[in-house]
Amino acid sequence: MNDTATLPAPVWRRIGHTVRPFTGILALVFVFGLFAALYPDTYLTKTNILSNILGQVTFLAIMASVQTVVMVIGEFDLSVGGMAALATGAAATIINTQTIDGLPKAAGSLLFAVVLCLLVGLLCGVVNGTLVSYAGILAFVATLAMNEVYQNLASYRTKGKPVYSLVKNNFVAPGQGSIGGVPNRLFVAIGAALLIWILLDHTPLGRKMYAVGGNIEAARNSGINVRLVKWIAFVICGAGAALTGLTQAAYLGTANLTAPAPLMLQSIAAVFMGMAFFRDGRPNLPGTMIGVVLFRTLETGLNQTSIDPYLRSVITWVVVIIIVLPTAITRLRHSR
Amino acid sequence: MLDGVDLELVPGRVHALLGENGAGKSTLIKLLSGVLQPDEGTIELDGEHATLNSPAQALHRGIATLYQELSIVPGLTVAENIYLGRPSPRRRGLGLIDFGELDRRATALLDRLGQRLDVSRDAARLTPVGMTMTAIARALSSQATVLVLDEPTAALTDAETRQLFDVVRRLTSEGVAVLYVSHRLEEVFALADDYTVLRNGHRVQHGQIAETTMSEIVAAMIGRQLDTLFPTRPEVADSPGTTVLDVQSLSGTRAADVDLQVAPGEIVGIAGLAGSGRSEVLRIVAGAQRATSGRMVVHGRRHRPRSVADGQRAGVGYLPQERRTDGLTPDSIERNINLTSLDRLTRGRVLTSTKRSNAHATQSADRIGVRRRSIHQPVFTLSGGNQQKVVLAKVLATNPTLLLLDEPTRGVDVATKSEIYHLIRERAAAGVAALVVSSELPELLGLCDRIAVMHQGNLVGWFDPRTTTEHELLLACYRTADEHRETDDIG
Repeated sequence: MNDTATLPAPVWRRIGHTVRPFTGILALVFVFGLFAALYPDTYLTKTNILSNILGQVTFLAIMASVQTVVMVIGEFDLSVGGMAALATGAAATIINTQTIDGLPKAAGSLLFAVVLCLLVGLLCGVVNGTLVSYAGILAFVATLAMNEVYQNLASYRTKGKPVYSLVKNNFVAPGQGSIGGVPNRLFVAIGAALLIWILLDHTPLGRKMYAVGGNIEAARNSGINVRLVKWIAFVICGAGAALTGLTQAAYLGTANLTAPAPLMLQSIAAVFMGMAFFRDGRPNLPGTMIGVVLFRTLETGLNQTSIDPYLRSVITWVVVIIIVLPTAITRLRHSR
Repeated sequence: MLDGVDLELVPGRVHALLGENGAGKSTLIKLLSGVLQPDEGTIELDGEHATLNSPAQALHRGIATLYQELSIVPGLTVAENIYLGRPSPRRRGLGLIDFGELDRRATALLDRLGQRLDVSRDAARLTPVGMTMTAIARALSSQATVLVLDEPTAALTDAETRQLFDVVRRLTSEGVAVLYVSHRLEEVFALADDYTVLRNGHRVQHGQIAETTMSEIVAAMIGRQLDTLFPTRPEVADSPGTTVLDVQSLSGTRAADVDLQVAPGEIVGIAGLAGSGRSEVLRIVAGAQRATSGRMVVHGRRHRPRSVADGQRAGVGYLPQERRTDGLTPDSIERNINLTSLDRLTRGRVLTSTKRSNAHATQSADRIGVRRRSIHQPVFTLSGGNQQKVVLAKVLATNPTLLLLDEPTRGVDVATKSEIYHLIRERAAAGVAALVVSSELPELLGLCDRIAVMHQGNLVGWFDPRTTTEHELLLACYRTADEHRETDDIG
């Protein structure tokens, strides 16, 4: 295919092209509007919007941000749940005020616990990155297997139980607190997303990541160290997963090691939805964020209905399919 | 982009479709193969109006299209590839595929083409011409009466091209009408009966090949006389023994014991068949592949690149062979051009400067003449020639002092070819050394100062393009016994 010569696009396709960047926002407005109209008394309240919808967004937002990084380089990280569990498990057993067996104990250093948590996340990321980048194992297999390793190591450390009674001062209190009605944890998520957005869209490293994900051979032939770029993406993902787990533990006051697990698939789904909104089907942070908010808005909205909880999940995930469908069809059309 | 074009294909005749990149050739092919539908106008088959809404429908009506990138499924056998998408013969009883019968039918189809291939082997291991033959046999299996060939020889050597021509002639003698698209005019004159020249979506000239000349067609394609395809070659520079690149006894997986030197301001060509190791030499010098043995010196320094980045630091600029698979990312022109300069286009060392990135990409694209709507345009919406210029702009952005160019004008129209030749010569005039690999011998003869010929991994001779004919060079590529000569005076 050498020629650019193409027939003028039909009107509907041109309209589609102009409208597409707004589909994410439109879908969000539609879903929000729908539930607001149905339940104006309960859904359209400050508490619901700030602490339910946006508060619930937090953990998924951090996880999906770092998942975006890995998906930009063309891979997946299926171990984010396990990494979050292991990192928080390690930290929580230091700052708990009662032992696993329920006996009172003095909490250890908070600073040490936080640093340890992030370090464990980084280390897990290093292991994943090394397995994928330097040992050449498919990310799907490597992160799938390592997820089980991390998750079960975490359970081993805590004897399979949640770590209760985390230290209140400077950890659980701020984790549950809010400033002017806006939950503190939301600021953490916004900070993480902002950082990843700057990384991906405004640094040479981010552009290299897009090049590696777009065409790894072209990236290599342009003098980019593709292995290192991939490795860094997994390390960032590990640190982000640890931060997610830490924020979640601070909010709950308990390190529940199974809490981060559902975030793995949800984060991947959010990135996919984001790919449908912006940048011609490539993973991108603004899209991911809209995907995250849309996912949670839908979930919290459905929770207000009397629909069976199982069916709520069915609806949520069918919506995910509907959102990615148009991009998939366009791509199908373009490949001859 | 196609406006009121008429085209008539006659059974038993080869019709050449000519035009520069962006002239509308691909659009026309897509209309015939059912990928696109016309806004106006009709397609008639055997005098009947035909509506082609999909490739499957076109195939059903007897129009088979072979695209430049052949759709061979690796992992399936040749026979399975030939019967891809069509019912396979079944065994009685369980309805399992009868592979014996499948192989027999595939062999029979290939026989019709005068080809002998082992139909039970993995199609991915075929030579490029074997893949082409498999794709043609697939077309025949669907009883095609019209065969559309889009740049079928792009990946073929000259001998393979002649083999393909034999097959095309065989098919026309059976009454098949062939539409042949190629950038190589010599091929068109060797094969076609009729021709149509497109320019900017219009038919500007058509008729019988026997009644026209190459320069007339080139003039019609570009709309003006092409005064100088190649830049003027300077007199042999008497550079006193300085070299930019010195390669000694270099070996890789194919290349064996290669010696060559390139002086500043010199353009050295490497001719040879595909698989002769010519591309490998470039890849090793560039840092894209490791040498197994040998010694390289660049600018007087020992050169042992472990990556393309290492090569770049030594002043090497590498243009890989296939722009689509090895050269471009599916992003904008700006992102592609700046890919080699990312670490320089920053503010405060950390953040990418949008302003500087845009300015740098605009400047690079302008200097090389990338025709575009905007530097933020997706690179794959450009014509092939302009895509190639983007890859070149990316390579030149590092200001290399040693240029390694693998097929710099593959699949590029004549006017752009000429621009690329002038660009390479301009760089050489500024003291850059260039090493050019090409399958097109006239290109090497017109552009280079010296030409090395490689054969089965060995460098078998040096030629002076001023005194060498295409014929001689070709014989050397095949290493036909004692018909090539070695010129000591320039080696």
